[in-house]
Amino acid sequence: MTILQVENITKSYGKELVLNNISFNIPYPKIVALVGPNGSGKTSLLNIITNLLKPDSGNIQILGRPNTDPNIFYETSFMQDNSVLYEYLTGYDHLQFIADVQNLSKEQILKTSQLVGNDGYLHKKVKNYSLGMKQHLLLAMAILNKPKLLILDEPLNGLDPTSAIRVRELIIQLHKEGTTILISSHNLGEIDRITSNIIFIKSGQIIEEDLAEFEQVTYYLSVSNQQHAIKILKEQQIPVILENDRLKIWIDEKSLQTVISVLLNQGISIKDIEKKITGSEERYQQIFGKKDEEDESFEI
Amino acid sequence: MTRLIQFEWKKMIRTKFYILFLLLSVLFVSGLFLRNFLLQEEIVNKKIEKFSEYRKDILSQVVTYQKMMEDFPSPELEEKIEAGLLVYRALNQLIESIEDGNWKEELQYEIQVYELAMDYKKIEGQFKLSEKDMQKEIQLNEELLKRGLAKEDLDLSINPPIFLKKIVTFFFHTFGFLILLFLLTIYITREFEEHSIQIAFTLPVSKSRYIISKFLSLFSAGFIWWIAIFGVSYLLTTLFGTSQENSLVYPLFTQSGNFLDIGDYLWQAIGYSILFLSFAISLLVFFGFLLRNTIVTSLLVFVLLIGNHLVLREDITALFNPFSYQQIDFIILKEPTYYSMGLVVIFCATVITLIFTILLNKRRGI
Amino acid sequence: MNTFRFECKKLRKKKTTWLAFFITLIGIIGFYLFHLSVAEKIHQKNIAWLDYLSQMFASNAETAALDKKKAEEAGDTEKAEEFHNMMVSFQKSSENAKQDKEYFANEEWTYLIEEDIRSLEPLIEDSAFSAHYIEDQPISMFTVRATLEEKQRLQKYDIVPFIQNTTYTNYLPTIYDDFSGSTLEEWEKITERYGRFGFYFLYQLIQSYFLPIIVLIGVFLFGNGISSESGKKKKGLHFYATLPFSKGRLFFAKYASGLLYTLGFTFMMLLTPIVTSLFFKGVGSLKYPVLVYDGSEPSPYGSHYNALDPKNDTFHFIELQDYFLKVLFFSIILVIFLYSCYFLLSLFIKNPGINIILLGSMTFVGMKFFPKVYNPFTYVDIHKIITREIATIQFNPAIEYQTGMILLFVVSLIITFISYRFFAHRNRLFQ
Repeated sequence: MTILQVENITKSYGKELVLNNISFNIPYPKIVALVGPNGSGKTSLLNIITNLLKPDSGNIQILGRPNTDPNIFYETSFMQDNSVLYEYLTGYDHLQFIADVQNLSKEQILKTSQLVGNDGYLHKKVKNYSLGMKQHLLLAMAILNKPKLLILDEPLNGLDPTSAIRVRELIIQLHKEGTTILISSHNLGEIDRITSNIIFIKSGQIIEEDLAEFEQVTYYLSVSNQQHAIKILKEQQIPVILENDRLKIWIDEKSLQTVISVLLNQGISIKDIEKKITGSEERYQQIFGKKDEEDESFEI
Repeated sequence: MTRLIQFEWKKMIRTKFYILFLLLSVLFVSGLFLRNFLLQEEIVNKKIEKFSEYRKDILSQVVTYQKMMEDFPSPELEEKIEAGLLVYRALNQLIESIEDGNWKEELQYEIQVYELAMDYKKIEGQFKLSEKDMQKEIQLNEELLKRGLAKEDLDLSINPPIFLKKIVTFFFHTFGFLILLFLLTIYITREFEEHSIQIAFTLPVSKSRYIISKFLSLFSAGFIWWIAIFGVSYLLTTLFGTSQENSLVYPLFTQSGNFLDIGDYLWQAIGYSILFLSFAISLLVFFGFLLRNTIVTSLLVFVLLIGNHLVLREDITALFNPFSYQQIDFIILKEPTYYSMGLVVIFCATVITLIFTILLNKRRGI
Repeated sequence: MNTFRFECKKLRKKKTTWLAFFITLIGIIGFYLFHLSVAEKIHQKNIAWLDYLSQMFASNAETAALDKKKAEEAGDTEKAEEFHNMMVSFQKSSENAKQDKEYFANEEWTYLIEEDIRSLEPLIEDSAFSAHYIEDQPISMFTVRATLEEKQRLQKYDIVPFIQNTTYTNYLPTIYDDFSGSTLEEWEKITERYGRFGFYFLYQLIQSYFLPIIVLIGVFLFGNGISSESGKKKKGLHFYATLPFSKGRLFFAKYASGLLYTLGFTFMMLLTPIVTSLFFKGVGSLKYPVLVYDGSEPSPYGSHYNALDPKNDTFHFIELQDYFLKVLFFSIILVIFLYSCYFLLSLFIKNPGINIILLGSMTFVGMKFFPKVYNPFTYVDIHKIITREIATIQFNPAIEYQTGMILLFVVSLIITFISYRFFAHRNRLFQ
């Protein structure tokens, strides 16, 4: 079942083409990340999907209905940038407004707030909120109606590690409960931990990838007797090479413990271990080059 | 819809400006009433002062004629002295009746004074008022006597309908509407400037419903302002003012010189002010949603209303121009026959403006 | 200087600034065209009225000629003589009206001014001969004297007058007139002037508070430099906090850039009617005489007994170019003054709409209701200051142009200083 269908979307600002004939589908239930450097057109695309912005051409269908139909928002939510909040209203005022329009109960507000963890400061005015508090409120606003499609624009922006973990877990939980999620970010490190389904956006074009295919964990080990260690590991069927005076091995975390005990049993001492996840970032670098600055970026 | 309006109201209350404006308006009405209340004695003094001035003027003329009579007696001079003295005596009686507070006599003597003054002017005597003005006053006094009403000072009266008329003149004209619109502009444009409107635009609310709810909430804000002004005026004058029986039939002169009952005047003022308020707010919604900028929207509304004010100042009115109704007192007294059709015109203008707003913003988006 | 340039650039790059600029521009041009059309309508009405008079007199003359003929046939020579005189008189009136109509239609103002002078001179020569009346109320001798001198100046420099709603004497209204009731309405109607030329129109606009209105629009557009960047959402000021410069420099840049733009805006709007008129009727004469009251002697028995003396009080005229020069200098000071007030207000209230309502109300209430020497708002109505109208009515010669300029400037400096102190105090983060 297709939740979101994007067909031939083109958008330009003046002479600058930001989105060039973009098409993709998101099936149910999937988490898809929209990744691209700053200014690549992520927010424009999300705004077009939610009909906040008019595309030059193309069509969008959400849950089988055109995105121009406001009723899609009974089952779709968009978590926007924190500038949309009313500074002079409280968090509760915002949630109550949405609950009123969506015909939701007061209990739903409290339940969602507890889930997000913003129930402690719900009655404070937004002008007194920190960036993280605002992000929490925006998330609570977005998930209040338990949407089938949740669109998140940089949801982890400005969050401290604890909050970021919480939000990440929440997103994964929502996904497990059956919500399809489209999430935008310029930080692949964050996205990696949520999904492997990535839509890269570059120069107005998109590249759809499943990074699970690329993703591998690599460990670099500095050991006392390198040649001996290589021999032992090869005997154990563990892929290993020597790189920059260190052993480079491709295994998962559990197998690492086995490797360590085998080497120690053979009298080889381990001086240092470095873990490196490769794949998604390498792919990102393949697409966008080593530095974001080298990319064409668009002023929006 | 109700919930959207409730949210708009919450925003208006939380930002405090509207409440402050409401309070200031009520304070202003109360201040105006207090001023009139304290100046009640001044009304009598003003009248006595005015007629004493006329009396002094006539007396000095009579004395001059009498001196001239001593040197060059003539029947014309004698006639002038006689006529002058008649005016003088009538003025004396008029002043006495004012002092006694006998309003019926006051009206009758005033008529007498003007009739005699007109005779006096015919034989080249001088009297401050023009014949046209005196005839108008006679006409008004006769009408008042017929209706059994005392004469009111339209500026200082604390009689409910008369004070309400003053309030209409004071608040419901170009500048009163402009101040209200300036204040309400921010409740549309600031949402665009600060992007908060995107919250509503990503909710299951159609654009037309949102625009209508915005209009209704702003109109209700304007209407509450209207109720506050009229309500406080009515309450203060009913509780502490003076009242006359039948005061709703107090006659007012229209620009063409006919009479219009103050009851009818107020009825028209109520209809026009509420409907013009709705038109002005629909215009604000139109420009607010079109331009999405506080300064430009305010400026455009200002230029439009002031432009039409200047047109009205040249006495140019048109039944089908909704802006002709922005000076409520002026339009009622100049064109009392416009009334029912005028209401239809303003109502249609409001609806058309709203339809245009909806059509222009039909596609959702910021 | 870089900060200042950056601030100017910000204002210049805003689309809304330009949109607001064009709305105001179109508003003024629209008003000029409307004013011009009203003036032309009145001018045509005057011509039509004279045409009607000419025809009416001609028809009366014909009737009188017929009556004369009948009387002659009846042998009543006395009656015939009377009708003959009537006929001649009507013919003459018809000719005069026709001639006047031609003068009006061809805009030969010299002749019309000459006629006005001819009708006014006897009133001055014999002051016992009480003057003209409007309905039953006399026109003050001061007005008659001022009107005559105005006409003489128009004649001397061959200046085209304003259009007025009358075919008789175009009186110059003064504060010495004391009409009431319907007479007042009639007087206002016939003395209302309509300038078709750029300079004349601007002169009239200034009398209708054009200057404070334009300056208020200007400060509304350009005076939000600090308030718009110190909100919770737009923290533009924080941007400066990360740059190495002082509060003073930032304040100066913000203050001066807005002020410069307000000044530019005001001057452009002052120029608009003049430039627009070039495409229509032209700019008119800068020598047009502007009446200045010399004031009246206060009563030795106290201010309660003060009264204007229409027979002996004096006046003089200045040329429109001198008037404009004064207005020009004054507008600079007025811009500084209102801008400073707005700037101070905007430090406290972030909402430009509320600020402009407050400042607008303060300006107009202060100007209309408290005409005192040390009330800076008294001087906002610059027309009445240059013509010394307020000074004359208040019997207070101290209310004059120079006092106003100095007072407004000093008050502006004080307000700016207060704004700076407040700004510096609130933005401690810059220290």
